[in-house]
Amino acid sequence: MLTHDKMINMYYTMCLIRAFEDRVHELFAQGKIPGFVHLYAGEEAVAVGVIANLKRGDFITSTHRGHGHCIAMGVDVRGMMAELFGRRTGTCKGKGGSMHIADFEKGMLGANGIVGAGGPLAIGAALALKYKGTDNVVVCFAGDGAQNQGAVLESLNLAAVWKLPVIFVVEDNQYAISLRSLTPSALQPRVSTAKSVAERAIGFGIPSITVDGQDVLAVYEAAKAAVERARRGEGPSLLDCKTYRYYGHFEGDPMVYRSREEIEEWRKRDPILIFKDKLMRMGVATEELLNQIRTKAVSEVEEAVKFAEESPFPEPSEAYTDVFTDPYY
Amino acid sequence: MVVGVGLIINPDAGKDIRRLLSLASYVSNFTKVELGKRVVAGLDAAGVGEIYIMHDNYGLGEDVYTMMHGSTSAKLSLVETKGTGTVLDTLTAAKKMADMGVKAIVVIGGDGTLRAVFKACGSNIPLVCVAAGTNNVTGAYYDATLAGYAAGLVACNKISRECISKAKSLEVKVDDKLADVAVIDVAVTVTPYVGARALFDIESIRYAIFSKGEPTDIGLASILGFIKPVSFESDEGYFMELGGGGRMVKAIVMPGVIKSIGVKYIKKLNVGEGVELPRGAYTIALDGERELEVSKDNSVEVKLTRNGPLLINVGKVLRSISSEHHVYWDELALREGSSNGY
Amino acid sequence: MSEVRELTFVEALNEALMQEMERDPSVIVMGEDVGVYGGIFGVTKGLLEKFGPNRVIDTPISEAGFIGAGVGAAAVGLRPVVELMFVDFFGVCMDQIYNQAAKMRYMFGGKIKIPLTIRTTIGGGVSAAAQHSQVLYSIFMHVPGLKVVVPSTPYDAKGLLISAIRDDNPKMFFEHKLLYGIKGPVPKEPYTIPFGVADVKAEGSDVTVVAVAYMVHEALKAADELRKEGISVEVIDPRTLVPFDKETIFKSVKKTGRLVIVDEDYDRAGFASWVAALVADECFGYLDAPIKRVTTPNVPIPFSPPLEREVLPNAKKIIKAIKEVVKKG
Repeated sequence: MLTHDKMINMYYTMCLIRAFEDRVHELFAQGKIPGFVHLYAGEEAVAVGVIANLKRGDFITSTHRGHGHCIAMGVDVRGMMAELFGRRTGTCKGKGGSMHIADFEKGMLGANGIVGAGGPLAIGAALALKYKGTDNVVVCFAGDGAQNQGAVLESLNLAAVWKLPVIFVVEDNQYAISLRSLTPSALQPRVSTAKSVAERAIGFGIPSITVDGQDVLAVYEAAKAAVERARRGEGPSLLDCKTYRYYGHFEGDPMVYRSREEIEEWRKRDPILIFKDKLMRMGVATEELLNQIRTKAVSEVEEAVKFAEESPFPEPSEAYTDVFTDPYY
Repeated sequence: MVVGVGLIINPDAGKDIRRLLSLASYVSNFTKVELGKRVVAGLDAAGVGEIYIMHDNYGLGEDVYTMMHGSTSAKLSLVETKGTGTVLDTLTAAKKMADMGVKAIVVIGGDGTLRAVFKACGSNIPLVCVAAGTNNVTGAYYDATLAGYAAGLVACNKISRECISKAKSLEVKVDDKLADVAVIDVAVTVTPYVGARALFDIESIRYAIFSKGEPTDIGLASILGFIKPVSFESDEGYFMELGGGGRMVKAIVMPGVIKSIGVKYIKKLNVGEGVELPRGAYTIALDGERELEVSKDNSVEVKLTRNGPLLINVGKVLRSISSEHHVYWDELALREGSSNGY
Repeated sequence: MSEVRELTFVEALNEALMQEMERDPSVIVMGEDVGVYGGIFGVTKGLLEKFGPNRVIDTPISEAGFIGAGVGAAAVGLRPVVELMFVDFFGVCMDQIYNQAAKMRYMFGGKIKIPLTIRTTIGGGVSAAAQHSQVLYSIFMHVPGLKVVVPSTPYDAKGLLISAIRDDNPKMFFEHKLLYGIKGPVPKEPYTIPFGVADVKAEGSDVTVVAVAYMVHEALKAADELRKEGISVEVIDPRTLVPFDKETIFKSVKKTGRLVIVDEDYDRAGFASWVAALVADECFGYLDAPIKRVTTPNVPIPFSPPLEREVLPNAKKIIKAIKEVVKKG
């Protein structure tokens, strides 16, 4: 069972992700962050609930919406913010940006600009871990939209036939850019006849369940069962987590495909509020303490912004390094 | 007067965490659509005039509607919900159906789904559950066509009322206020949070209260079933204290999972009787779903009542139809004196 | 001194794989029919028996899945050698090659390495028609982050494959189908051939011919023919296209004043055009005649033998081109 300390840590991580994303939203609007940015706000319970089950030597593959996964894996937010600002002190020296943050030391195999591309990477990492004879696992995060990518379906098959320690976590945030994964409107075609992406995994012989992605403890328990199976060598599983993104597909998305009311409806089941409520009811922490924790997360992000803004841009000559391990390009 | 019947298909039934922790099957939504279509065929054959189908996020109800529309005498329509993808959709739809005056509701789901429908529409609308959950104590393993047909016959009043019976319920009062209600069992666990909802950690249960349990049931009810079988009809229920040091009972707690459970204490409850639980920080599971989180400061009482759902006994309904035919043939045989030489 | 035997190209590659797998347990081989079958051209023959199914992995026909798995396995510390049966199939797994393998190191700020070798077959001349006859190495040259290796002899094949396996970057290793049967001297002991070092396959003074893969042999045939007519041809095999040994070519062109580039890839925007551009940039003043390219015209490779002969470069076409540039001088 989760210790109080661990639950408090999970709460802090959720608050840190939210604070980071809310702040990036503002900074982007102010023109301080260039490029394409996809925010994870609203989906925190999924990353945190799953990753709370991981240990050293485990890996994750991520998506274009990867900030939450990075933070939950313990990637330093100062480096992340500097990366978003395109600074030399960024996690990837300013060469990757929002969509390409990776920290292999922390087990984070990279956010990914290509929808579904993390699937095969997760398979390979899991194959390597299995070959090395460890009990480590790989979590493959992918959205509902990615479930229609061939690479993801191929990955499900490979994970099943090779019985790999992979946990596929579907972050069903209801939208594949503008198209609904469920209940399309009259003008919008269905993106899948599968009545749930979890159904497809069943077709590959992968046990698969539906999870309330707004409740971090529900995600934690489900992921615990999946991770323990994988560690015991019982193979892959899939968690279909129902969640919601508060911001657009990308920053600047006019969101013509959904209503304010819908967003407000989902915000009533905000994962941080739900968890806060539970922590208080369980007597894990007082409201005062939880508020302090949230404030601390906000200030950690502020510090990261300061760090990023004060950091230098890379030298132009750095454009030519890191193509290969040798200087050739 | 046109007779209406409701159909509620729960897209989330049969998909919980127990797929990772037991040998429970995954009940696919495609399967549920097929079940739904068969229910509609059965209802139509029984002479139901209108069939109201819950509209859900996954479009299961919509598929049943689209595929069966035009091929039935009954008029089909969809009952809109907010599409929250949670139990709220079932509650909303069941409530709306009750308000429309349906004469029966067919539920495709497990015990959790039936409980939700019962909570929304009360004890006066006959219900039948087509087994599509993990544990299906209330659900019938009959073909969905039969369940639909039986529900249709009941709704159209073609069957005597003795084919339906009111089950018991377990009312959970927290601080003297009715907090929730279960149909089969209430389990009090020491897990401090609801988590993944479905109850899977049997060791975490301290107390359990049963309204029903037979040796053919699985889930928590299996424990009672192997100690003291109790039917929906009987006027008794049981309170148990579970844990190490008690008498060991083998029970099928999840599909494919047989465990020895320690039973420390057992007490019979009669309808109308309640039991007050020792205080503590608990999560309370109702019909296998962890729902209520209570603290040491709360008082909890569980009361056995006769105000459960009105359940259609599919076997009895269909046997009573066959007995009508028996009467006809028996009379015919009497009139004609002897057989025609077959 | 190492024993030198006559081996076929296939045997040389096989020996390289055997020796590297023996030397380094992190080397694994995967691909379609590489195990029990031994590879459809026999390159992986005997590996399964020797190293077992954990290191020699027969994959489903699922290129995006297993090429991507190679990338993932390389990311977490293995040295996978993945076989893509025909280069023509890269279309179904290109994302994993050019967006994942090729770019990860750069995007992630140079903090990681992807020691992945993708072996694949190339080339026409066997009536394999439009989807099994292409060379397409130009496409991989075009993408930053991939090393491109194109051996032409059994000796080069073994040395370059060993170098490729030990190199810490993603490599595309191209094996021409018509080369598999050719024999040549190959030392028994493992040896490496550095990337980016061209090999002068024949020395000459009148014209420089740059050719790769099977075309090296057609160029040598042409050189032999022309020697009888008193034309001295220098044949240079760059062996790796990325990195590329410009200097050896520049030096030769400065000596001969004439350049013919033989390239089995399509004419448009291909390897030959790029070499021509490099030489035009750097050696314009040394040229006594326009640069000639002998390439495959911009049509799909036809099936019927006379049609295929029509489009593919060969010694006859090379002789014609050489005579044109020699005459112009």
